Amino acid sequence: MTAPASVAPAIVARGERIGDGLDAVMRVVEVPMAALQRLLGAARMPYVFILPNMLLFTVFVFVPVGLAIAYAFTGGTNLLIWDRPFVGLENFRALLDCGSYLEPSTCRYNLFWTAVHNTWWYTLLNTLGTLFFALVTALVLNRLTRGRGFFRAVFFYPVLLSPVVVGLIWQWFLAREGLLNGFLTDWFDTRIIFLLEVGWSRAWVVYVSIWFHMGFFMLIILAGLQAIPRDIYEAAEIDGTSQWRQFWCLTLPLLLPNLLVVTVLLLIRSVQVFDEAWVLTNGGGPGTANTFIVQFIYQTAFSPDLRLYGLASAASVLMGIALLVLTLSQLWLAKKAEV
Amino acid sequence: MTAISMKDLRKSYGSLEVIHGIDIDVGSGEFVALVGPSGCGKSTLLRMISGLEPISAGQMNFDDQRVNDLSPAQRQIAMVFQSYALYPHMSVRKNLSFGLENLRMDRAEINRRVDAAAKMLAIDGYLDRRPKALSGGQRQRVAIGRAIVRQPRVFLFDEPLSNLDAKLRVQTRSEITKLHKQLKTTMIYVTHDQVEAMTMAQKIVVLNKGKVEQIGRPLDLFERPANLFVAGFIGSPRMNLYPGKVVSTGSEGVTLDSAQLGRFVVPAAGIDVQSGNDVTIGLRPSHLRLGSAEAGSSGGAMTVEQVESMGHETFVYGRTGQSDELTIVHVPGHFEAETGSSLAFTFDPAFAHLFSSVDGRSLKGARI
Amino acid sequence: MIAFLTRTRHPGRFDLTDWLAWGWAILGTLVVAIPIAWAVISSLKTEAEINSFPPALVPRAAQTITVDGQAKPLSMWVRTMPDGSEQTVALVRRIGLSATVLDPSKPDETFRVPVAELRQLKEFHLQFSNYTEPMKQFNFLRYLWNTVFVTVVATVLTLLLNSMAAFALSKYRFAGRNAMFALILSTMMIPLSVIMVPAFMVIVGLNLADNLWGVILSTVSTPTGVFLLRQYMLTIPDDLIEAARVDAASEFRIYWRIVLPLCAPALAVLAIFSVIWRWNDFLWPLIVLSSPENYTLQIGLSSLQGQFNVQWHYILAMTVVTLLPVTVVFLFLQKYITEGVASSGVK
Repeated sequence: MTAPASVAPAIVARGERIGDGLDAVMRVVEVPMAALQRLLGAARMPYVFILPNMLLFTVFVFVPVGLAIAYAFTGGTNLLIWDRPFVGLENFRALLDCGSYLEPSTCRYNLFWTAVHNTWWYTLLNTLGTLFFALVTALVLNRLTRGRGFFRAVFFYPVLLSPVVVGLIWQWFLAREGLLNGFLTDWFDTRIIFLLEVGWSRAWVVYVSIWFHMGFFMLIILAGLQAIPRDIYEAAEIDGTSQWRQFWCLTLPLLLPNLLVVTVLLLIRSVQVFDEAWVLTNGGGPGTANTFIVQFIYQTAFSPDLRLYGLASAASVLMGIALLVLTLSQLWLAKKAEV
Repeated sequence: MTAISMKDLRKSYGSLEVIHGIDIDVGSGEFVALVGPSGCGKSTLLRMISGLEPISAGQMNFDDQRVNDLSPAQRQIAMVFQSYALYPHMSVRKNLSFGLENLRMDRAEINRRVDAAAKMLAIDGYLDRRPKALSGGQRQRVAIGRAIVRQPRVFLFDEPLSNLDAKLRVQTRSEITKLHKQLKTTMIYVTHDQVEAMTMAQKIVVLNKGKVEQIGRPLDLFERPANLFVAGFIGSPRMNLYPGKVVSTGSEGVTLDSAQLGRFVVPAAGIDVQSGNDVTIGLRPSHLRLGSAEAGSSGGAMTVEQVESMGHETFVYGRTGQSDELTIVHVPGHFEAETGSSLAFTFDPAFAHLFSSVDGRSLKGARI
Repeated sequence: MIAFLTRTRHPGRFDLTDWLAWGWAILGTLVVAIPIAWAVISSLKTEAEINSFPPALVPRAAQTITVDGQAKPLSMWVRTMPDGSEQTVALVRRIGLSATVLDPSKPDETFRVPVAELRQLKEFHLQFSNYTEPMKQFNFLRYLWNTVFVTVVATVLTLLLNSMAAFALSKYRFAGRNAMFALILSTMMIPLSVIMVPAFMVIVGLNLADNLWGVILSTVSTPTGVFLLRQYMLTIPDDLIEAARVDAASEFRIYWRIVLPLCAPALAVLAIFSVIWRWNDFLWPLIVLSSPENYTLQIGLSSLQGQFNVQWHYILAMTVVTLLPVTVVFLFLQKYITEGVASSGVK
């Protein structure tokens, strides 16, 4: 951080005296590192710098990726890989064993296919809904000449909350004794137990997700909007273009690369839905109406009475493949958007 | 006081060689300038001397010590960067003392050296400021101060004046010269500006495309350029060059024939040419005079294209014959001429340089 | 009508589309604020109030009075007498549809009235014990401490390790540099949800299950952090590094004394994000931590909700405690956060 030129010399000097005091503390690390450099040579120091990071990545990402694939081909309930029998493609076969993929009840693991169906519908609705609200809000904020910073902050704020907090806040809002039911009683003399009815609970899960994440995508779209040069609108104005046509013929095409990236990002996030839905619906209820794939994996692996690590890993691998396809298409789109 | 010797130094990036075997000897306490056009390898060479750039092949010695594999710190050099590279988050004092602290020097000694350097460079008034709060000239002095406090064996300067305005540049030029006289440390100075090299250095190394073109005292380079490249590079404005042919050689000198300058005799003996050879004739603008040829001199005529008068001197640019290059004539004082008018010029053949048209090698230097 | 969608309006004109824009913004603000405000208000209600329906918009509690001759404080009620006049009474006991009450001014005379004639008197009251009780009763102080520990340690390590890696990637040329950078970026593509099962195996293998360090270590290396810092370090001139090298600084000292201080703005952004990430983490701690004394706030909170007898007054109070730090961080650093997100697309 460079201090502005106006920083008084006295402050700079004092700051540095404090810095000198820290010197002794910092030397504690510097001395062994300098010794290491003498031992290895300066040319090997970059490896030393990058090593801790790569080590952690290896242990917690690369090794698990390999393990996930390995576990997917084993059976039994033992945790350690060498205690587990090799079962070949059995886990995948079990997961994909279905009378009709459109009807989860005909599948051997009907919970998995229920989760797939739920996730599919959630992904569709959440992506479209979030995209719509984020786009409109970004356009509105881009238009405001005053208060933009304030509203941007307000709409972004929920993004920073934890999924647990969001789930609880909304569960309380929608509760039997909640505020919404208070209004419903006042106005319509009725109460709805939202989270115990299949249709309502699904709708609210999507709604809460939109409420939770919309601000993030709104910010990205807003940044894209602000990157559109002002003068092309002025040129259009001089040409007598109506505002309606300006939106369809200028804003939308220029924003399209940005929107495509946002869409794929939304798809990737939606497929992984878990925590806020889990908290909001008390673990995917009512019944399995809000059980999603990640929850299926989590329960299959970690429920004390299941512990089917192989099956869970196989489901992970299938989901990972789906996500990989989405991510690669995102990278491809992002690259295209840059050109 | 350290002498530096470089023997067949080479630098390559993969299969691409950028420095092709350089031999330079820098005497102890000498001020040497490395000049050349951009991309000639002068900065790379400086960085090889500093130890920032590994040496691919060859040998570099500081006195009798081989330093090829030593780090900059071990070579005990100090360097002033073109961008100054002052640490923006440290005060001037800290900028000066940082290097000494790295050497775990005694605090009292650090303070003594910093104060001495600050006084010498007249930057003691703003030791507690950050570099951002300083002017360009002050930053430049801090950069030099940071080099001085180290009391290095060799000072390296990488185009240190290129970020200063013209007036400050002239002033700082003389300050660095003064500094060298005071410290008597070996200094190597990289610049693309021949005026800086000519005015400051005791010895100039002209580099081109990763090779040494000539090494010599400033005046030697001006008066006896070893080849066409040096002839064209040293001297401002550039030397006038004309194609010519050797008519005959004899005891009185070499008789030349040139489409632009006519036939004349260069009075010098022992020039390695034979009749019929193609040569390039070089004449400095200051050796041309306006006016018709008299006895003992030769001349040509040109159509004026441009006149640049600076008041105390004037450069006249004109076209001579079919030549692409304009002839430049230096005229003392103010001078005016119509564009398109015809002017005659003369010269003393004794001042003519001769270069081989085959390899550009100098065949004869000018008379002093 | 949709004309307001097009662009920033002309200054000095305020038409229908501007009204719509403002309407959307204000309505949206309410949609964001009301559920949160409702949770905050409710967190200050008494247990009795929180379970009463329809809900009151302000936290209240029953008004009570201490009367001579009665062991406990009595609640205050308004009695509407058959002739329409009102009388304030204190309730002694209630049996079926009739209640025994007394007039506080005449504490010795109790009389029976129909319950239908009574309306309870309530006063504004903030039940702060909702906040203090769970700290003792449910070990929330412990959860809070665990969360702070995880957040602080993980953030410090993230800053340190990610900046070291970024330094190597941005300021050195070495064999394998591009491959390592690509590998680090590729981890962005592997979400936790895909590798949670084997990642837990690794944690078990390292004997870090049910250990806060198991939560910390696996989150320390972030591809986002490395990328963010690397991009910032690329803007630091190489001349500075070389000047320091000429100044006899060791490579680590260059990183420590030159590069790190100059990266302060990028480090600050990463620190903010890291704090928020670690504070809010749920799935991973849920997998790693199993015994209550190791719970983080998020896990403690969700376990409280899963209990048989849901005590919403406590849950909501702890929810507020959990969202408070993030809110405070956001209030002060709002500009950095939104700009950081907009420019780098990280969350």
